[in-house]
Amino acid sequence: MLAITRLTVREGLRKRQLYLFLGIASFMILVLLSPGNIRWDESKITEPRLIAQIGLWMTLVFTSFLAVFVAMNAIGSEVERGSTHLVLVRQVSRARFWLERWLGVTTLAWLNAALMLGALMVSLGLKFGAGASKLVVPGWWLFPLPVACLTALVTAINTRLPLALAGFGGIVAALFGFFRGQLGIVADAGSGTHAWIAQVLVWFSPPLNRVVSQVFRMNGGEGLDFWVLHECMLYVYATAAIGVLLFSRREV
Amino acid sequence: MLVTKGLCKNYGRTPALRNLDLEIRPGEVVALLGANGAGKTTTIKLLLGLIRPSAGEAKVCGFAAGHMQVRGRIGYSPESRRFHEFLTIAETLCYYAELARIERSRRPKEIERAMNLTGLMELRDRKAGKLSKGEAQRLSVAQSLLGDPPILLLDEPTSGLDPVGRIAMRKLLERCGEEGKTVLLNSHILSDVESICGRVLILRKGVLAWQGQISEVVTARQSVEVHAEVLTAEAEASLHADGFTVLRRNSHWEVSPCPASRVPRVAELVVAAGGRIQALIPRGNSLEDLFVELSGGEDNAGHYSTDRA
Repeated sequence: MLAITRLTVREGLRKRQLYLFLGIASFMILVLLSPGNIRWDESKITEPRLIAQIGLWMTLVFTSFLAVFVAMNAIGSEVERGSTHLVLVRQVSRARFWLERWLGVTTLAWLNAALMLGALMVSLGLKFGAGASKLVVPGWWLFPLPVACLTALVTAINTRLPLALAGFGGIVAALFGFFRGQLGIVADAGSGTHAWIAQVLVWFSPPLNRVVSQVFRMNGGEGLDFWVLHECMLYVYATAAIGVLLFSRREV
Repeated sequence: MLVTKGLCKNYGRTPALRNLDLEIRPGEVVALLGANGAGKTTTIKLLLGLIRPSAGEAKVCGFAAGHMQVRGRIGYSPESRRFHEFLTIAETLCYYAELARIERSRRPKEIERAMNLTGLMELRDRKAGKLSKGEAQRLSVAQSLLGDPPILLLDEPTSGLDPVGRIAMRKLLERCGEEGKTVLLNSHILSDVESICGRVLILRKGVLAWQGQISEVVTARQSVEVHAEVLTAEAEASLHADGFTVLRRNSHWEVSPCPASRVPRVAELVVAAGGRIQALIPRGNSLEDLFVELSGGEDNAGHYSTDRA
């Protein structure tokens, strides 16, 4: 059951760069959140909810880049080293191979997100008490989906394009995803080429901005808006379908 | 069991395989030979369904190559053996056994059988990344034997093995043949091919240049060198009339086809026509001679075919 996924996770856990990246990201979050570092209009921000929101936003940013990092060679490395031959000559369909590899790298990215959220939770709890730790909970609910969006997109790109282009594409997509709201404004405001390009970028960007705003709203006492989850799931389905289609047509 | 009709494969504008028609019957052990780039690996990949043909078709057990129905019946050992370096031999085989849908309860026995057959039992806990080329080769063959598939497609199964390993691998492949498995192997080590295979297919620049039984190669290509003080035109005519082919070399004639039993007849004809023989040297041509000849020059291709494609 899920042999390829298990092997992918095991393989990923052996990458030293991953731990280095994770360590640096966690360290930066903790340093930036330490007392006196966050200021607004020359005054220190000490309100736990604001600090938690900034921490969650930073965690999502780092998690997104980590997701790109773990997924950018999910398919290409296997094809290049020829180990796909030994898998695809067995009763393993190309769709299953693609989906299991994607699930493997997504699990790795989820593990990273969980570790970073855990570190954030502990640091907030130590600084402001147990009540502050609960402010991280929306992150546990919502962060797996944007991570899955990005891993699906990057894995789909890596199905046909090399590691560097997949990584670059993933980072660009993540940036557009965070600024999707602004792109939407440009798209709605004009009617020329700029607006048209902005609209296309809105369609193709993962809905990271929606996740961020939903986390903030939940910290403000609102409930979970399931449409955000649906939007993320649709993005995952669409990119995964494209990835599977591309891989089914690729010669290995 | 393995059939191709008009099979063609182009990589971009470069043709890798052209109009390949072949049929491998159940229980046959067949070698696919050819120089580098002749199209051997492409043929195997097409039969496995890993790549799509540009034209023609490849069928395995009546199904299109790569069909799910036939995948469980094929064991494949590829030329490039890149296993996951952090897995031990036993873990690697366990992984492939799981992908081969071998029941969990049967897996340990299957893995043990594959390791015993390939002499990997003592190395079962060694990491794949620490294996020598020969050991990795044995692991590659071991994973192809998981599930006891009736068809084996082996790309260079004896390369990288030491002499003892090669003998063991030859015996294993001979045993597979005796058990009625259909084996298509691709090798550059022609002495192994001669001892393991019954039939040979030779590819040249993507075209099937020759195919036939190995025994035919030896019989059809046996010749005798005739060294003499005087070799007359009458002697040459007599030999031609008796069904021999005569090739004039610098210091001698080469008369073929000439199995050992026909050497006295050659001597008789030459002497009767006034030739004075100094020596008659029988030459047993091997598969290697044929391979070199077919790979070496366009003009010579197929010169000695007994079953020209």
